[in-house]
Amino acid sequence: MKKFWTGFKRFWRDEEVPRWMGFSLVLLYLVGLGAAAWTAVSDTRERCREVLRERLGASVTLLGETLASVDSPDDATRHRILRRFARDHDCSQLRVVDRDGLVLASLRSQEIGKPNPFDPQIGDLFPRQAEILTLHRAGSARLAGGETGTECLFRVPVERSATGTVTVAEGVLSLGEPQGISLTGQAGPLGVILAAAAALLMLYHGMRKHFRVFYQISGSAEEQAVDTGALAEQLDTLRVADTCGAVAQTWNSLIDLVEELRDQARRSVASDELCRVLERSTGGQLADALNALPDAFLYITNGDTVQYANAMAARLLGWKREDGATAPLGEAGQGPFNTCLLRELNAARRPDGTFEARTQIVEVPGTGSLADHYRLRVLPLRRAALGRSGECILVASDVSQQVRADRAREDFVSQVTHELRTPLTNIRAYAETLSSGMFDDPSVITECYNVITRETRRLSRLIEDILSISQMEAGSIQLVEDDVDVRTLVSDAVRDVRGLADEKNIDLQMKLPAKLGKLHGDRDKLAVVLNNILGNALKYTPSGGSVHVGCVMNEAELQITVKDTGIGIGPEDQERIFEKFQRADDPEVQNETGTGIGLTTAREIVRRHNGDIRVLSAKGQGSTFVVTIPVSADRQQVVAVAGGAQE
Amino acid sequence: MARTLVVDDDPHMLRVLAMWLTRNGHQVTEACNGAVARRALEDGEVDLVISDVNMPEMDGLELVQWVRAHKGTALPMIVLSSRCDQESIAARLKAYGVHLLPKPFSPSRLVVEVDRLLGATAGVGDSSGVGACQPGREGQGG
Repeated sequence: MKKFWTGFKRFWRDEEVPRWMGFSLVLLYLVGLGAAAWTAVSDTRERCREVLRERLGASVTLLGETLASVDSPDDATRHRILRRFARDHDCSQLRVVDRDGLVLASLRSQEIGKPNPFDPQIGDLFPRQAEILTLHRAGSARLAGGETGTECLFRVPVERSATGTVTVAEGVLSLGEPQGISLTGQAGPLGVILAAAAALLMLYHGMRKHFRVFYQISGSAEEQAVDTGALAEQLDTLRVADTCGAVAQTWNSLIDLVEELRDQARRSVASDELCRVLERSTGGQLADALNALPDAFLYITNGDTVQYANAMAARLLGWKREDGATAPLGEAGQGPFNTCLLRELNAARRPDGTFEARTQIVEVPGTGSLADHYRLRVLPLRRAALGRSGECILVASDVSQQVRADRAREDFVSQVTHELRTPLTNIRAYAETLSSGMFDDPSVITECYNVITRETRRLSRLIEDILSISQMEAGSIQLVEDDVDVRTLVSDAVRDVRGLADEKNIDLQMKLPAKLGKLHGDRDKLAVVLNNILGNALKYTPSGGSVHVGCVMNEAELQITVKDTGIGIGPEDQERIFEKFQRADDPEVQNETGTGIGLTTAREIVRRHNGDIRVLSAKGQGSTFVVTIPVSADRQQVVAVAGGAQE
Repeated sequence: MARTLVVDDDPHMLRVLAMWLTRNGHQVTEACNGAVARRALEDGEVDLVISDVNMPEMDGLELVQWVRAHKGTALPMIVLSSRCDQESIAARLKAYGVHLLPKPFSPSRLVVEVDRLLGATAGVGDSSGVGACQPGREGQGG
């Protein structure tokens, strides 16, 4: 018994839904069968009773007619008839009662001649025909009290007068239970109901236990009350307690699997999407746009693999277009640009493999005709934050011009500082010589004054140049125009530099035509132009050389020529010498001090006069500078249109 | 009488330095660049060298290196410079035990510095130039 109980308990706890469902359904089926059987039995019993009642009705009627047919009623005959009837039918009481309620004949002889002992209130005391009343539920004091079965009271008329029934036979008999189909009272339906309730309870209990997991899941999903996208993000919240049994564990491991699949899908989708976009774009407008960029544009994946390179990038990497599919940057036998890119990528790489934004100007040596300075920018992809590391965009822009300009400016500042300090040093030294009172020789004093004057002029000219260059940079240089006498202009310029020519023992000659007109222009600025060109010629002409100044003027234009026997200018430098802060890349030039702004200033001023400066030269064969300026004031219109602020 | 070698490519500077040093009892030798100065040092004994930095052919720093390599560390030297990278020059010169005097400078202060280095030398000497120095600092660069 104990073993069975243990087995049952184990079965009860068992979590398998099918077994539980089966058990509960079998139980319900049995209950149904029981209910059907009970219904059938009660129905049959009722029909049997009906038959018994009909038979009883016939017997009772026969009894009444038999008693009535007795011509001379005597007690013995009546008694005999009653006895026979009582024997044939399980009759407990049987009597004949007259209208006055006196018992005329009875099974019990002591009742004869006495009032009817039976409760006269039940039924019609003197019915016109046989009448049977069921006493079973009538509440009769005598018949109640634990007796089972169905007892009946019957009354049947025996004698009738013109006014009604005068004598009745009255009896109580038992109908008896139908044999073999006896079911007791209400125990049947009650049992069926209880069994059904028990079965339902068991079913509910089992189901509830098994569906608890699903309640938890739907409960947590409702708590989140979020859209499916966010729900997918929060798969963890859908986990249930492992204590809920095997189903819960299976569910949780299912969530693990879903999460893993989700991550895989994400990685795969993101990668595919990017590749698709780039593939699509390589045949489309985006690729054309990227290829038209002057910058090199690279899409890097896996830390150092070039997934895409635009035309400039392919050129810098030394790739042919068709083999530019994908390749690691670090592959052997690649050029200096690859090395620089790889170095920048390594510098921008975080320990976890992602990149941080980084901008660096790098020098790329040995690229031949390509630029030598690039601004390399590593731009991490935003989607890399979603879990894809090792991806970035690399943009390389040519900044060689900018770097050169920056260096030229630095050199200029350094040079200007030096140039300013040199005359200042002389001025200070000679001024202190004068003020010290230690040197009283008149020739020394004169020399001091001359040097100071000369160095002051040099300083002011230098400042003029610097001012001009900054005005040109700001675009605010303005001409103060007047009629300028060309002969005076050129002669003064030559006179100003004659001292320098004599010092260097250079033959400075000026050859002007007999007739020279006037030029409309800015006298002071044109003087600066000539001074700069002449000074330049003298500076780069060795001792013993010559500088010739010539002039031709017609109605249209003035042409001034300065020809020297100096070191000459190579073709590669002939344009460069006019650029700001630039000097010819020649050791002989670098030996001379200079700020690199004299010729720039000169050309800018001449161009403002609508003219130009050309240089005819060859290395080692001297140089000829030709300044051409229109005579008429046509340029005013041009300048007015271009500058606006002229007049 | 201290024999002082003055090296500068600016003739005015050479002239004024020579005036002050001669007045203070130095025998001054002038040189217009490092190369000329080197020849002067090879030819005769010198007690002190005063040199500019930016000069053609051989600049002041090269001269300092040459002097330290060939004339030892005992020869006192003063370098004058108008360049803007004074600090880096000063650092390089310090390694050679050479003083830097930034331009513009006061001649009287230079004389004091010279005397301090030489240990108060007295006397009067003549100034004499050596080498063929071309004047050449005028005009504008292009």
